[in-house]
Amino acid sequence: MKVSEQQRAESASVVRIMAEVLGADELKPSDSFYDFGGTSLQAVRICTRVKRELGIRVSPDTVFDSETVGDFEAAVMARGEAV
Amino acid sequence: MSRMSRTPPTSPTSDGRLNATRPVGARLIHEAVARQAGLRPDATALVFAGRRVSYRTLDLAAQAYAVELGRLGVGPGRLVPVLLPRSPQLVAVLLAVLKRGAAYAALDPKLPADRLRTVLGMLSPPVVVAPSPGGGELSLLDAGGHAVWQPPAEELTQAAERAPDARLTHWSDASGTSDVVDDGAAPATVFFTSGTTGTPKGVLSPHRATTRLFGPNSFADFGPGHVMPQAAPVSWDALTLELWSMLTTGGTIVLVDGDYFLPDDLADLVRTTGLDTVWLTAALFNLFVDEDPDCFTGLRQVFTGGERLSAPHIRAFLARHPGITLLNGYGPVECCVFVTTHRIRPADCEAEYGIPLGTPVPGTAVHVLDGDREVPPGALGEICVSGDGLADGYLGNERATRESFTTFDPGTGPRRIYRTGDLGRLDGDGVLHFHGRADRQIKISGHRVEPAETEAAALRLPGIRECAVVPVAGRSGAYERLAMFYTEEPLGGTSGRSDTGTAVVGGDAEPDAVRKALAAVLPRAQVPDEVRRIGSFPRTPNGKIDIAALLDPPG
Repeated sequence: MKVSEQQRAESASVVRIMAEVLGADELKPSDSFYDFGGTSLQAVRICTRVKRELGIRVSPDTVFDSETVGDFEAAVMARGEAV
Repeated sequence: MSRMSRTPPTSPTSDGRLNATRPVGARLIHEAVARQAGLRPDATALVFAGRRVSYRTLDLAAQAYAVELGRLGVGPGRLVPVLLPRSPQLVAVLLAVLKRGAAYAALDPKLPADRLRTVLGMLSPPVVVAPSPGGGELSLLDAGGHAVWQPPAEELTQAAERAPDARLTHWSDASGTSDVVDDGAAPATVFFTSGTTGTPKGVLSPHRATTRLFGPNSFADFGPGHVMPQAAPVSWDALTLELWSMLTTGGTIVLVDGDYFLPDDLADLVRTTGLDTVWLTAALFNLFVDEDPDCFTGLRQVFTGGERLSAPHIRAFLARHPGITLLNGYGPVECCVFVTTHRIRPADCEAEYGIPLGTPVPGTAVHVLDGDREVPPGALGEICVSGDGLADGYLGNERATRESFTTFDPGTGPRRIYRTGDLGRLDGDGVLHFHGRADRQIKISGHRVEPAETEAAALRLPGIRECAVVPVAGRSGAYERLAMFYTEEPLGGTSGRSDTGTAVVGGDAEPDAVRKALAAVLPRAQVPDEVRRIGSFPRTPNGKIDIAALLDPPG
């Protein structure tokens, strides 16, 4: 149970980081990165903060390749498990 | 007013002899690298994925590739597109092209197919250098009718074994080096930049434009003991700075693995490779300072520029890292990397018009002109440049070349100048200051963006009647995004324009489909981040589109 709670907290952090970088008040899992600006620098910023806060390394390509916020969150969590 | 570089590289000493520290004949990029290979063959030229490549191996591999390129028709005056990903092999192939007396164009392997075809057409290359099978673009290149050479997937040590002359003692055609080219005026590099008409411009520059930068009076410290990353996309002109600064002087280049460079990567490379120098576009510099200001710890020199610098970020950096030399570098691609550089001090952050651009690099002069007339010190004018850094011009575009490259007589005889389109001012100390663009070209995240090119592409899509592409500034004041506004053709109306946008169907030009159609034909930096359909354009009293009202509609 502890692991899943930690995972839930990490998932929430990923969404919060994206919202902060994109300047969005709130992000839904179905929202698209591209609807909120979606520049390469924002992707780099998101990945830098994910690495710093969660210790999980993802490439900005993962941001671009994710259709939605939920997809990116899932990709980050999958990477975290693999480490 | 004009400003020459402080110490011309060929200045005689007081007793009339040439300065003894000046290396002889380092006007050619590949000769300068070969000389380093002769002097210190075992020194590290490249680091890639934790492995080191010596100068000897690099130069021998380049010789081997040069022999192979020679068989494929690569020789003096030819232009060779190289679509290899960032790797030691890419560097060896670029050197090989130069050894043949030809010029290279390092291209982004992910260029949209249309753009790639256009660019290859402009180069009329004898051969296209592409990655080994699996690289992806092969069928397209075949369709374009260009011959393709794929160097074997191998370590440079394997290629080096095929070099015709392993003793590194003399330079001749047998060693893969063309003896036809022995002049710094020979073309060496081609970089493509966006053009206003929707067609990219190919900027062709000679060897001396590069080698002028890294001689004994250079704007910074390069050479043995110095280590710098090659991290920018290889199709950017930053490649010239990131590769040849170190490889022509005996320093070391770390080739960054992957397309992106994060603050963490910088800190890791400082720790693992002894990295001491880095170039970051202003946008990336700001991001690094925001997200991880300690990632610079251990560096000796940081170069930034490419667009207006953000004083708050510069101030934060200098307060944290007073011991690191921070340079502002200014120069359009037509002048090869830098025209001027400025060592930034805390007081510069308070300057009314921003961080100074600085004083000319070696072999370069700045003239601030009003039309054909030089303005007095302190007055505003167009920044124009003369000297060894100037490009030969735009490939196959004589009109654009004639417009941008003109002549000016400072009183000592006419000289060729490049008109940058930037507004500037030389102060009483001969330091250049930036005052904005004279035309619409802008920079976003280090990419040069021509809104007119995006507009031209959008107007070729069916269903779009009128459009305006507008840069949007972020909180720092720098441009961050591109917004596009458009109106539709009236229903049922056929535009008669060519249908390049298959994503736009049924005459209804949906914003999302428009964006996708543009992404298919334009490089990413030219694709609008936001696309909005509007009923009609707000206009200024004299009939022009009212940009301010578009971005901030009343009510």
